[in-house]
Amino acid sequence: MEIDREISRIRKNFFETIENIKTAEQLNNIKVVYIGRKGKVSRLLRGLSELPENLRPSVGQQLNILKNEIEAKIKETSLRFATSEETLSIDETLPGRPFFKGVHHPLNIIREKITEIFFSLGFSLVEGPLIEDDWHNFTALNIPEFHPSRDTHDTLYIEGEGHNLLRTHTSPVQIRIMKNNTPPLAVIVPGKCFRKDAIDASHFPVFHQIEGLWVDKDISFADLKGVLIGFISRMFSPNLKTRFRSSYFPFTEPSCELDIGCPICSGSGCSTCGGQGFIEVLGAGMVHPKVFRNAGYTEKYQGFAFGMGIERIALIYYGIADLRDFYNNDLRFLEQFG
Amino acid sequence: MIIPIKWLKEFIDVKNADEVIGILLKAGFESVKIQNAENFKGVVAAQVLKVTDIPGTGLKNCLVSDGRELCSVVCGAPNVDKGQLVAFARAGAELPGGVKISKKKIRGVMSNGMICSEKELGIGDDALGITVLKENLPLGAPLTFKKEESVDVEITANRGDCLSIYGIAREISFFSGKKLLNPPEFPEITQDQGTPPDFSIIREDDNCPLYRGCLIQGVTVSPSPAWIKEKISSLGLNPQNNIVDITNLMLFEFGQPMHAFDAGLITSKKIRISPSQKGEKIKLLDGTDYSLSENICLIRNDTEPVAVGGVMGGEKSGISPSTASIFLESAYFLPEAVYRASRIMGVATPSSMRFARGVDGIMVKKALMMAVHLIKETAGANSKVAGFFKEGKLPGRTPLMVRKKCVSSLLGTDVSADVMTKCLAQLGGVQSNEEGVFELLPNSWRNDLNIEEDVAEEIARFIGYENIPPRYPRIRRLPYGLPEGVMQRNSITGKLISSGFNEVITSDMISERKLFQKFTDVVRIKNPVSTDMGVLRPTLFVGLAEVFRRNVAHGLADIRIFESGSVFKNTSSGASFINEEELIAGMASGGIIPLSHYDCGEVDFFYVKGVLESVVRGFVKGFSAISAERINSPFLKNSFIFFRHGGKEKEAPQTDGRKNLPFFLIGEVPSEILNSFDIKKDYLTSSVVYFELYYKNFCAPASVEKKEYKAPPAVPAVQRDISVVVDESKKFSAVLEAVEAARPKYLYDIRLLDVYRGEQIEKGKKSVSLRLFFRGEGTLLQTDVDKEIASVLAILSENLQAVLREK
Ligand SMILES: [Zn+2]
Repeated sequence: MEIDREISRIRKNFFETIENIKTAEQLNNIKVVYIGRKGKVSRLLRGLSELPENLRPSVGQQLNILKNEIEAKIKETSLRFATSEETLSIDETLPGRPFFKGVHHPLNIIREKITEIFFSLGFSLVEGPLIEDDWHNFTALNIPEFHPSRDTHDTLYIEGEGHNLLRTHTSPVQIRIMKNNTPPLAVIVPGKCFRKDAIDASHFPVFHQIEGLWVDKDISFADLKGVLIGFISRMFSPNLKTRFRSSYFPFTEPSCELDIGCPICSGSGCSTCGGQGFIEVLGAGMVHPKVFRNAGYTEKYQGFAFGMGIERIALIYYGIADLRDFYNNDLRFLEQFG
Repeated sequence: MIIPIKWLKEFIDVKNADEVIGILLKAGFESVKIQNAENFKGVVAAQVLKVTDIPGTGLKNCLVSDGRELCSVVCGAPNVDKGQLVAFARAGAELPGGVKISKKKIRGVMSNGMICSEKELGIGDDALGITVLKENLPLGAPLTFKKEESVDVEITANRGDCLSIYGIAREISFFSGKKLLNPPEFPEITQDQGTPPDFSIIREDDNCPLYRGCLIQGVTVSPSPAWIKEKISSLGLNPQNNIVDITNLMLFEFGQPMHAFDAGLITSKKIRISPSQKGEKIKLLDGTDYSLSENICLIRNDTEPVAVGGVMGGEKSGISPSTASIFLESAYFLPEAVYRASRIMGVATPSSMRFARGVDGIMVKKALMMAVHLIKETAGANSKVAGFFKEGKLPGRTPLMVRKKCVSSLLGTDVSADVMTKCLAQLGGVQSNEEGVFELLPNSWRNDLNIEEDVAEEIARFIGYENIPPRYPRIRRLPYGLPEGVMQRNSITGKLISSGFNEVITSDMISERKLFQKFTDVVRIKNPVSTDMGVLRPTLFVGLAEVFRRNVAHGLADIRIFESGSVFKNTSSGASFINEEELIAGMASGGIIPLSHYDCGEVDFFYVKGVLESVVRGFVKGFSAISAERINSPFLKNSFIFFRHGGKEKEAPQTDGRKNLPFFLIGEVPSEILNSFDIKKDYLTSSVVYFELYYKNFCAPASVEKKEYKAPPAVPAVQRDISVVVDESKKFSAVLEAVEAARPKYLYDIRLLDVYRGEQIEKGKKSVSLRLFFRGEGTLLQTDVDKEIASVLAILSENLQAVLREK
């Protein structure tokens, strides 16, 4: 049929022509030629009524399809020629609409990093009160009232009766957790602690600790080493040296301290590590049987505990020289960590 | 404690301080080297060629040669002599204490330098005589007087046995495998011939289980011989006299504290050991008068206290140059008793430090014998041991059971029987009647070995902590992670941070002065670090204001900060119960967005309200803060507390009485408060707004609404705007409440578009324009919406006399 051939010829011509156009003006011309009011397709459409009645629906449909195809192609092609007027009207180098973005305190950033690592090892998080009694803070942890190990805790006491004090470490939460739970348990306890320390570059009467406790039937010193080495390698670097040293804490036996190779100088000695190449990061040990007993455990359990200062980790992590910066809250300091 | 390396070398073969520090570090003791740096320069070896008296002065004019030139020097020392090799400070030399040597005329004679004494060089106490060099040094050689190296060791509270030179040597031996050299030979001394002493010991206090003593008569108190002086000086102490120095020697060398009484002053000839009565008084050797509390172990001249057992002797019965007979005490006091006395009295001495950590019971006798031996040697030919005394006995010790299986389990590594045997043999007497089970009677000095775990630690140290292979976690429990409360707090701080607030951390202890007496029930600290940290904060305002002040002082104007922390107050009077409450508080000022060419409002009450509403909406769907109460808040003006209520989800649990819980507080900081906190107002560009967010009240699990999933609506919402004119006194909350009271079925959101007062509105009235959003299951019909609006308008008119304003 002639009309069919005509339609396919128009289609062929259109698609050939449109591939070669270069300007928006040419595109507009094509639009006029094909689907303009007097365009080729429009003309045919208008001529539909002259066709025999039985042909009209199928030809009409074909013409509409062709018209849609042409319109779609023209629209698609027009995207190539954005109108120059609009382009010129914006200065894309103007600043965007600004907004304030705050930052977390660096101590809390470090706290989150630490807790995330322990979550991934299967630990959960627990918190405890800042005001403690003597029993939880000391006696239950095998630090009797008249024992020299109290000398290292310059305790701040609350006025009034009841022997309340500001907790000197997060360890009393160990007792609180064990009193209310039976093993297996694996928890970390971040929080503020207080000691009567004179303020200097490495001491502030308020500080933060993270306590860790993992108790089960057979948790051993080897597990302690595995968890802490795992923590250090994730927190700092897998290549960092670790060194476990014997130490003494009344609430653990055996006890140890963990040193890491100085991440600042990689062990060659700098001011952060005092030229030692190693920095002490935390204390740990196997939970003392008396602590289990004081927590009310009658069955035999075995496990370890550790405690680290968040400030200390943060100082090492960021290479900050003066701990007081954390408490000055100079926004120009804080903003660097967001 | 100070460990002079030269002294230590008498007992163990160590190279130098660094080696000792390394071994002790592994053993669990941190230590530092004490640098005996030269503190003089320009001092050289020189020879005295000629000495002539300067008439009438007692001074001498000396001609010395330093190999380079001949100098004449004025010198006052009696011992200067021709031919001596001396320490010569040339003009230009510097001596300790910043002394600079220059040429000057002394009594009319030119002196071109100084011949130095030990004291002037800071290497000894002799100030009178000049230092005569013994070594054969070339003339002009710069002098270096190296004091012996020493290390300062920090001994952990469990290891009293390491608080002595010998104890440290023993520990180094255990840890490094080096052999102990020259174990000291303790002499056996017996009473000298003569009349039996008229002297007795009465022990009435079990805090002193063993009390030994020796009465020595005919002693001469004099300076110690040089070797004792040298040792005492190497500890950084001043030598005193032979008696005191020898007791100190026993304390520092063997860890056995001793005390020497002037026996002549024990007038009753009875030493009574008995507990103190409350209020008893004693003046100790430190010259301080102490009023004692009860039950402190006292050594008495019959009834009169002459020493606090294990802590310090009394001033009255101390050794003096005229002392002719002494009573030498060597005893064993219980650690806890001595520590208690020392703590209560606030006195810590080398003696109390050792007793409190436990001394070696065997040493009580041995050290006494050694001391008596040394005193007899140094206290003159007439000194006689008049008698030895002993009351009580050492506390007994029971053997410990140590099982290979338990040690291996605790350490997480299989410990061989061989290693156990070797290690235990060094810790005491061992018996093994059963495979893998040992009985250990710890050495007398190891007071710290009381349970199997203590021994396990020794075995771990013996193996080396580094040789226990790490094991990686295999936690047998359900995952749990963060408790809900902490997760919610984190989500709130996260929201505040993305709203431009910076997190700060301030001290929980603040100055009470900064509270300006605005708070009652303040929790005070009994022994504060300083008055600046005298109380526990009852509000986060003070800390935030301080941070604010500091940052304003730095010239910042756009400041928004918050802190998540606890506040404290004493609850009911009398009871010592303290309330510790967590909340989040913040402060803001400046532009809403950073300075730019875009329109930017300033921080105000409603900016902060918007932030907080959005925070609460994270937990209470559709919350809007319309239920409020104006309160009188310390430090604030225009302050309001906003409560739960409001919120589209009316089905939210209201039955639990949480309805009226405060959610947050907002207020402006008035200028007089800014002044009180020294906040410079010049830089501020907006008001300063403070808030407190009581997040526990909307986060607590009971109040958290479960977010139920609903399919998104299939049809778009229908919007209608209405404007009504209401009386100026009607609050926005009243309008909202009225709309809600109409219980519209399809209305799901209302936005306030405008509040207009002006020409077109009657005075005293305002026009409130709202946009209402309707949605139904299917497409809403025009008539459905019209009906709802009509009912809303009816209630508005009825309740608020609102009139629809024609558009
Ligand atoms: Zn370093």
